[in-house]
Parts: sequence; C-alpha cells; structure tokens
Amino acid sequence: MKSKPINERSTDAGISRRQMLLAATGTALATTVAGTASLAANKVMGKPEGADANVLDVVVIGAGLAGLTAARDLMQAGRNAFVVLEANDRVGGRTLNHKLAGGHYSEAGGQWVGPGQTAVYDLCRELNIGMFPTYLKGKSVYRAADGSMYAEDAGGTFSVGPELEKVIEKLNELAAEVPSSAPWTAPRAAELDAISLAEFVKPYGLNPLDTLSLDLGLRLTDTIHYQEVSLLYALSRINYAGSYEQLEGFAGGAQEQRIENGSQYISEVLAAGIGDRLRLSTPVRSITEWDSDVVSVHTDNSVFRAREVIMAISPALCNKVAFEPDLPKKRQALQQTWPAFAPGRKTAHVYSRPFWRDAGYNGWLFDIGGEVMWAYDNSPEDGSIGVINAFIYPAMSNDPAVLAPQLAHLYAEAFGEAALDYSEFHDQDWGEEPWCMSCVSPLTPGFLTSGLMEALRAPIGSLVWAGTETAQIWQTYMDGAVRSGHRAALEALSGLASQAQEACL
Amino acid sequence: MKPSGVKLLRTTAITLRLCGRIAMGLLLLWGVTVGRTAVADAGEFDAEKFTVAIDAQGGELAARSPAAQLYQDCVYCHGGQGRAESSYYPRLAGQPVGYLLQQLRAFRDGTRQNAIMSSLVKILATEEIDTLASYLAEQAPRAADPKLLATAAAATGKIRAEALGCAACHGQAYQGQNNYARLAGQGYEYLTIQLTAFRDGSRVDPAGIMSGLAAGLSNADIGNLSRYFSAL
Repeated sequence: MKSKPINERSTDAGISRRQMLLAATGTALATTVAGTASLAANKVMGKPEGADANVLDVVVIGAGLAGLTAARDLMQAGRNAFVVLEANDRVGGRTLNHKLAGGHYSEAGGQWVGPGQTAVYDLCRELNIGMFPTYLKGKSVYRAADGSMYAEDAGGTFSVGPELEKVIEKLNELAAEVPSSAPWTAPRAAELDAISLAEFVKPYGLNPLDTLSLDLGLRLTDTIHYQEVSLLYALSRINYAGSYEQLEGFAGGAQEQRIENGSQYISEVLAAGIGDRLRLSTPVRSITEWDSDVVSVHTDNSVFRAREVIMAISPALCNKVAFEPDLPKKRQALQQTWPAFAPGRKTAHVYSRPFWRDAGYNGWLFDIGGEVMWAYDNSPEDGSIGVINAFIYPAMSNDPAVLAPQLAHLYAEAFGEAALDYSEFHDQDWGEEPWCMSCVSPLTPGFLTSGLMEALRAPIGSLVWAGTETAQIWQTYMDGAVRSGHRAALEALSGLASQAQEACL
Repeated sequence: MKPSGVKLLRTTAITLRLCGRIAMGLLLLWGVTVGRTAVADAGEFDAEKFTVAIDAQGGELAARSPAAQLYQDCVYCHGGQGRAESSYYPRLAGQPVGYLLQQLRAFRDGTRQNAIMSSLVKILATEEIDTLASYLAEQAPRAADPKLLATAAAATGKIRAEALGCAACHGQAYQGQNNYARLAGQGYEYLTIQLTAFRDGSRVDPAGIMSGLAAGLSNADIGNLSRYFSAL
C-alpha cells in the first residue's frame, strides 16, 4: 500500500475540483494529450497551475528493465499518459549488448537467468524472447600467476574441496533464517551483519589454495574483495536463490541460461512497445513538489508534470537528482550512503568460429590471482561465430591496442594460436558509466541493519521506487529488476486511484 | 563422500576445486559418484607444476603484510601495488602520504565526491586509512615511458606546466610532496577528468589553489598538461 503523502492531497479545494474533472473525463483526455509528440516540445515550466492537459499520470525515470517493465504494466492497465525518461542514449540500464558484425551480439552487462527467476522468464515468454543454455561442454583451463596451467573437464561446474564445503554448508544453514525481502528482520541480523564474509571464513582455517579460490569466486560474484561484503547480505542472496549452489551455479543455478539476441534485447522490445513515450538522452536534474498532487520532473530542456513518479534507478543514482523539498532524512541518508563500488568490466573477443570447442575446451579460463578473473564462451547459441567474454580488473589497460592483444595472448596459451585471430574486440567498464556508476554493489557490514533499509521501498509522497535493489527476491539480478517494475507500477496505479478517489469525496 | 558433496558437484559452486585435490583422489571419487569422469589434461598442461605454483601463490598471499592484505580491497581498480594500467583509475603508488591521507579523509567526510570511493571509504577505520596511505606511499611508482614524452602534446604541456608553476607545490619532478599529489606517471584520463573537475568546481582543493589555476585552462591546456604529466 502506498503511504500517505506528507502534504494531504485533498486540502486544496482547487486541486480537488481539477481532479474531479479529470476523474469525470476518465483518462482519455490525458491519454490523448500525452500520446502526442507535442508534449516533448512543451516547456511547461513557469506555466500557471491548472494546465491539467499537461499533467501526466506517471513519469518513469530510467529505461532499464525495471522502468520499462513498469511502463508496460501501466499501458496494460490503460494508463497511457506517461513518459519514460532515460539519461543515456540507449535503453537497458545495466544490460548492454555489443553489436557485432553480421547481426551478432555479446553481452557487456547482466546476462544470465536461471531456475526460480520466474518474473524474467514470464516476461520473456510474453514478449516472445527465447532462451538457450549457457555453453558448458569441455575442459576449463586454470592458470597460475607464473603462467603454469592446468585443464580439466568438470562438467561445466566449479567444484569445491572439503574445507570449502564446510563453509558453504554453514552459509546455506544460516541463510535459511535470513528473509531476503527484509534481511534486517532476521533473528540474528545484527550479529550476522556485524561481520564480513572474510571474517566469517577466517575460523575455518582455509589453506592458501582455498583462500585464493574463494577470493576469485567472490570477486566474480560481488566484483569486490570479500572483506567488504556483509555476511548478512551474502546470506540474504543465498536465501532467495535457495542455496549457495543455486545462486552461484550454472547448470541448475542462476547462470543456467542466456537470452536470445542478448539480454539488452528484452529492454529493446519493451521500449518498442511504448513508442515515443520514451525520451532518451534526457537526464533528470531535479524533482520538485514531490509532496503535492502534481510533481514536477525537471530535465535540461523541459519540465514534466505528473501525479506519480517511478524512480527506476539505483539508490546511489537517485542521489544525483536534487529533490525539493528535501526527502525525509532516512531516505536521504540511504541514497547518500548506498554502496556503489562494483565497477565491473567485461571484454569480448570475436572469432570466425568457436575454435576452442573443437579441441574440447569450454572456453573457460581462470587466471588465479590474476587480473583476468574469468574468460568464458559467450558465442551465440548456434555457434556460428565464436565469442570469448572476460571479467577483468578495471585496473587493466584501457587502451584497446594494448589490452586486446594482451588478452588474446592469454587465450592463445590456453586454447591455441587461433585465439590471436580475433576480428573484433569490445570493452565495457561500468565504473566509467556516469548514468550507471557501478554494477549492482554488494552491501557492506552494518548497512542492512543501519535502520535505513526501511526507506528503500516505501513510497514517499508521489514517489515510488523501483530497480533491482528494491526487489524482494533476486535483488541484483535481471529478475529482481522486472519484479520491482511490476510492484512500482502497482504502487503508482494505487496512488492514481487514491488521488481520484479523494477528488470525488 | 557425503551426499552434500555430490550435490555440490552436480550443481555448481563458483569456488574452484583446484588440482591439488586430485592428489587426494577426491575428484575421481566425485566424478564417479555423479557418473562423470573428470580427466586432467595430459597435453601441454602440467598439473603437478600448476599445483606447486598455486600453493606458492597462496602461501605468498597469506604471508603478505596486513597492509598489503588490506589493499586487496583496492587492487581491483587501482592495480597491484597501486600501479593501475588503466589511465582512468588513479595510480596511487608513490603518492605522498599526506596527500593520500587528505584525500581518503575528504572522501570520508564528503568534501570530495566519488560514487565508488565515497561509499568504500566509509567502512574503513581511521587506522586502516592510515595503514593504506603509508602502504601506498611506500610503493614504487610505474616506470616512465620515454616514447610518450616525445609527443608534441607533451612538449606543449611541459611549457604550460612551467608557466603555471605547478612544480612549486607538486615538486621539481612533479613527484608530489606533503599534501600535494604526485603528477608524474599519473593516468592521462584521470588527470584530464580531475583538472576539468577543478575547473567546473566539482572538485575543490582545501587551499583553493587548483580551483584558481584550473579556471584559466582551456580544454587543449588540460589535454596537453595531462599528456605531459602522464609521460613522466
């Protein structure tokens, strides 16, 4: 349920009358006006109040999976008077396809789906977007810092030694008591949030070898060293997945499948459905009067006025928007302190075919303790071309003339000389994206129990919050983003309904 | 073999079982248990050599100083020993301890803003900040690249730097001193971003010197200065 706005909505008789008019004419009026392109050019700033024709039902901020899912839901509810404002010149948020020659693609951002992620599965089915299994067949190659290597076929899995097994068993056991939708309500929340994953692991006395493995695995998961990751946070993620194995796994786990045409394609299809209601390259600078019936959303060239605003961007990114009046202290503090230190970086080398498969390799390379954490086969389903993607340290050279051959030589050591004959190279460092800033960042010890988390989802005035961080399950995944979009749309619709009701009283 | 071991292998855990386990015969056991034969590659790969290497590597990691271990949180962007190859993330090796302390504290108290650093520094204890600053100050900076210095942009930047008197604070070799940053060998992109931030006021130095100096810089100046300093 949407919370009451700070300013009561029905105290102003003038507003009530206008709203009664709107309620009487239904949404048709607003739909007609907002549906035309003229709205974009309409600079309503400074216009006197009362120009109802210019008031939208909803402004959605952010054209990632969350915002676009919300927009689709609004349309399905018959609320067509909305716009989606996107700061970037593209849709998809933290999903992004490199467009390769021949109409192929390789994902530079979030890309996997797996069992239990029913929201994104359903959405893809409704949109007629297919999925296919992540390629797992063959030997993986492991490389030590001195260049020595080892290869094995582990059935496309990573397996664990007995010491690590104990750690994982304990994690699974503890996670059962941590509800992912509100980890801070767990019976031992304060205790579990007081320590990092590293501190949790310490007493198990892992040998150096296991420590290295764990470090690599967790860096891949959280893009940062596990000294910074709250145990409670890690447990909340294990909780929503069902187990550590399901969270981190490929076959049977959250990385089991890929999206046909690449993960960004979901957003592209959603965007096509909302047409010119989508405004690209339109960063929102400030939001005023969010505590009144009509909110003003200010971009560089226009002001959009709406009854509800869906903030479909990360909490850290919300902090880049100026709010007037100030947001409640708790929400302000949440945005200001929300961790945003997961500058993931992914590269792609493109080959005429996935040659490594012929020699029995799955295209996986683990550079243990090195800066190329994990390279993997990201070829299209039919294998008509070969793609090797890699998660690398952002610290690696950002000069493609240096980086591309450096990585190719590493691949050649592992998979053979053919790795030097790549036709394309792509590099995406999410830390350099001003409108993403970071991949989904892990939460640090103490954050979940800081008392700020209650402000994560609670609507304030006419503002509702979306984005994968706000999901109740599968936070950090595409599935969480879709879920959050559905919830935000419902909250906005509820807000619109209660405004109309108040106006009729 | 405990049932959970089978489950772990059948599903997937993103932590690696490294080849050291083969010696323990576990891999074969697990492989058989789940009806799959796991085979070590016999070709150019040498499992034994690899195991020794990884063990040594793990031992080296465990034996690192507490400061070096703390720095593991930063290595992802700033590179090993603070010598990032990327020119986008600042190279911290050999920065003056005073400058490092000042900046880490500025991120913590909000006087310097950066999405990544602001949230990361908040979880560091004061003594950890001290430890990191000392550790990085002691690391040797990256070696200079003479080829870069031979460019026209670097030459123009050198003249501009001398005219501006950058060396007065940053040192004769732009090696940094006291609370003033080392500029020599810093990344080109990082330098251009910072100079631009000083110019537009989004970064402010405590003494206000940089804001004043940067106000008079053109984009070309910023580019040339950055080429010069990054080449040193």
